[in-house]
Amino acid sequence: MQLDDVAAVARARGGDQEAFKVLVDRHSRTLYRLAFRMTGKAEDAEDVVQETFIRAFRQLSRFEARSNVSTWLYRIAFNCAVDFLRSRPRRESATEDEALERMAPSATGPTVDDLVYAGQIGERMQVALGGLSEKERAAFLMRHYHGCSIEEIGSTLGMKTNATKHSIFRAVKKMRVAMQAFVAGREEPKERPGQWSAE
Amino acid sequence: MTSGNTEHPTEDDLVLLFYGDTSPADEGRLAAHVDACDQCRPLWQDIQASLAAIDAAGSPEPPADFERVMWARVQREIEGMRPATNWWAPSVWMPVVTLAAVVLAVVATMRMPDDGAPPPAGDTTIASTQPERALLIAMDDHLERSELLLVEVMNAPTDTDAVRLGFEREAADDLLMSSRLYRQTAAHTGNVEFASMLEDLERVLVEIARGPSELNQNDLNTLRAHIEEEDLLFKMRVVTDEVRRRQQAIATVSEGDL
Repeated sequence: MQLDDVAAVARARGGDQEAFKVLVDRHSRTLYRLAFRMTGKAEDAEDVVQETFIRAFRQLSRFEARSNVSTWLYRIAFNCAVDFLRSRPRRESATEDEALERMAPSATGPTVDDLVYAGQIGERMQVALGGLSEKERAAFLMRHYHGCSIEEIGSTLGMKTNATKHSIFRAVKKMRVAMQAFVAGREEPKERPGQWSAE
Repeated sequence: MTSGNTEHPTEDDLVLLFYGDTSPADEGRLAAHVDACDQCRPLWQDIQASLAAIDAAGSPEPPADFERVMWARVQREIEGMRPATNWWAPSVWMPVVTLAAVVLAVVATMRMPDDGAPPPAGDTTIASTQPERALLIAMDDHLERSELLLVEVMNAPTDTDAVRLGFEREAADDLLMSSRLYRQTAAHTGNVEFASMLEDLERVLVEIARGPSELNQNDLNTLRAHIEEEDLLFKMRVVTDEVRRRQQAIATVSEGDL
């Protein structure tokens, strides 16, 4: 019988590596999606996931049984991703202005028909995410994709409630600018096989 | 909601509405307003459509064998690593208290000789048993880990605006409770020099463990100055040498008994 998350943590805490493997098998993929959206690169996302599990292993004793293992791992992953982004050389990350310039719709840019593929939307969205500050990006991803509450986000990112809300507001504003091209025609993007698939 | 009943909601209000972060009362009022208001409805629809478009992007997917590859990477890193200890669990701190008490009882009876000469082989208090040797080894390990931590802090890079102390904070936190127990026991058993060194060490460990995870160069210099002012690394090395000398003395006596 497959161990549930809390039981796996308890056994891993006692040194059972197979139990820890259960957590890696179960949560790697979700953490990868999160890490990819945070870093924008597949290889960086893999490094973040790896570091997340190493930190989680070191911190097994701090996990409280009444908590949710997924939320605990998300929190570690967000912190790892933020650390990763901060350690990344400045030149690799686009400035906010550059990113906004790239994501703003232009008269000569692609039409809605050209941009209907999910992969293209994904790429566009990743550029938009790259234009957010680390905290805006983390707050937005936690709220939009992972359904974390404002309190959980604030606690993870070390922000007060109002600051957390404002990070989300700023992020949504910027993401809306980026998504204008897809919203204008109200067209649903078609599914396209490849790197991006429906969640 | 920042606007009154009859006023138009702000864009931020509508974002809260979208994510279900408004109070039930505000939710009903806002929903009714955007339904009825020709001015607000387009903005509300635009917010909904934009965020729906983000969902339509799908998710980035790793390769098919990602879990297997990730486990291989993680397993390589955690091999030989032990999960950090939760010092607040009684199952953990009770043995530590016992350990500390016995170690310090042994150390207190040693009272480092002024001339540095090994104690007489017939001193039964010191050369008594192997368990005492094991305890000295534990003390040695504690001092060695503490020294490594301080050396890392002293050698942190100085060419960056800020230095992250993530692992150093965790290590300091792990060392803090055992250090405190050793220090209290040393004080109770009258080993003043040892207690004094551990008190200096404890102050620095608290500063690292409870300080910010990211230090600017000024903060880092202040921390280093505290370590240097106390001559802490030197004192720790002196005590470590003494603990090792005692281990050796016990080992020599044990071999002689065979």
